[in-house]
Amino acid sequence: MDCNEFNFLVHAYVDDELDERERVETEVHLGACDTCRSKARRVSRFRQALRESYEPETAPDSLKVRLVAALEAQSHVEAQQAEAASASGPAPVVPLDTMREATRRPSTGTNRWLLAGGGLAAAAAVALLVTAVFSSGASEDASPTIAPSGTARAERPQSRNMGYEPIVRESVSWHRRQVPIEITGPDDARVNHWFQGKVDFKVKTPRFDRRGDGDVNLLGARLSNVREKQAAYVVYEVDGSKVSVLIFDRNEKVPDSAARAGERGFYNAGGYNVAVVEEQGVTYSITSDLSREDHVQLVNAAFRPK
Amino acid sequence: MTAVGMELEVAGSDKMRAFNEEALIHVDALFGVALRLTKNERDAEDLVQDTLLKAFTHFGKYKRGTNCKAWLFKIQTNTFINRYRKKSREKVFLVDDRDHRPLQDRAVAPKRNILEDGAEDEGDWYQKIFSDDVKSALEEIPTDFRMVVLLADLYDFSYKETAEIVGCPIGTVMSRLYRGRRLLAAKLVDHAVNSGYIKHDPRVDIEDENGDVQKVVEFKRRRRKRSG
Ligand SMILES: [Zn+2]
Repeated sequence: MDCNEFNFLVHAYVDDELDERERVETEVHLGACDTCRSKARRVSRFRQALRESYEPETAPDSLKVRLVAALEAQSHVEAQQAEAASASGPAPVVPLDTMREATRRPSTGTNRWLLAGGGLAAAAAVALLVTAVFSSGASEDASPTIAPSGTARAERPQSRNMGYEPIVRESVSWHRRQVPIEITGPDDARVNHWFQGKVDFKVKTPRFDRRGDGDVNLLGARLSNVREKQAAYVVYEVDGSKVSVLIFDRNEKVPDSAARAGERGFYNAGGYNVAVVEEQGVTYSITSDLSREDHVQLVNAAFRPK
Repeated sequence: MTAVGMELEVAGSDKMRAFNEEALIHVDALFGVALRLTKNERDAEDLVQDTLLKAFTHFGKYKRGTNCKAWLFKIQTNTFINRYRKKSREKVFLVDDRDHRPLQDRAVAPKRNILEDGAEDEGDWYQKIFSDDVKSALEEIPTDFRMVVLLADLYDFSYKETAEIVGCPIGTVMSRLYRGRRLLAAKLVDHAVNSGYIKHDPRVDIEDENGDVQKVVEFKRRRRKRSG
């Protein structure tokens, strides 16, 4: 290890986040290098000073009182739901604000406890949000249903495309979220270049402007992952709608014939249209809330079978 | 940790009892982080209440005995990003309509930084850091960086847990943490100089800012190669 390498590892070393071998290599270097030793000391002292000076707040009692009331109300609602469900048919949908009403902060006078939209819409929004957050977990019962929305252009061999459902699900989950971007558009060459060395495959952002009309704007991109594989996440604005694309290498051999045919599947999940396209060994998953017709047109213009 | 708040206790079902034991014990930590994120008590309380209600509703999806604290912080972070960010108009996420430079350029730390390049005998200023200074300095750095510094440095989450909570790769957590620390150190040094705790600005020139992200990538690649 040299000083350059150490420069980068110093934080991870101080945080005790190195694996055994890296730690040993680092300590060997530290034993021989005064400069790096003093740097490590500085970072370590800073971190320590930060932690020692910081006095974390405790939650105010008023919040705890409201929390207990809200949780008891929610628990009561759940008990009633369970009762109703065992008595007959499906459980009634109970809007979140039933319990929120009970615990609204008296001083504000406004509906601070209601989510924007209120009522059923709010309850649904929460359910969707949480589904999005936990969709990687074991239980996916609340996930949006995914239905292939018909094939377009090429016939899809079912055996391979069975693998698309999790991709579609993750694409919708990414699409729904507001995530920070790491590189801004609209220069696609610059965005493509930014991914060099960050992902293992060559990123070529789709050219939706090939559609020839309307307003297409590459907003930006960031690193992400799909099925635990690294991916490029690219966000566009098309005719005022958000269009997001996940680009990744599935590391699965796609038959040349399929790749040549520009194989693609169209899906609808959670109200979004999703297209999965294989091109030159790379998988593209395109999600939007455009109409199905516009979505298909957009995708087919950007990915033309050769 | 200073004052101990009242005990939280929700009577009732087994679910309630389990929720008491595993989730509600983290209410102070959730509130502490919420306060730094929202920058005001009222929003922080709302954020914590929404977080814990969501957690309670979906407690069935949480696997008992696993990392409940990280699970709760993930819910809180997502809730914050989805709701409060819009309200606070903070221009950090997705597209900044005033500033079209990439995120990392917008949040560049000063080229000179005491963390890496300070003189050894200037270490005194560390002793003069007060909690309120750290809190206000934290609130001045961009949310993405603030979040990882809070989680990893002040609330004891590992890099891996922080990555899960924030929803980004470990490499991103690392570069945000390092840069966040440098931003924070720079703010604190400014403050120390302004308050006369230290006489001279101890920072000297060298830091290679743009190399940072690339270094993270190289580091990750090296790791992957080794483990693979
Ligand atoms: Zn050295």
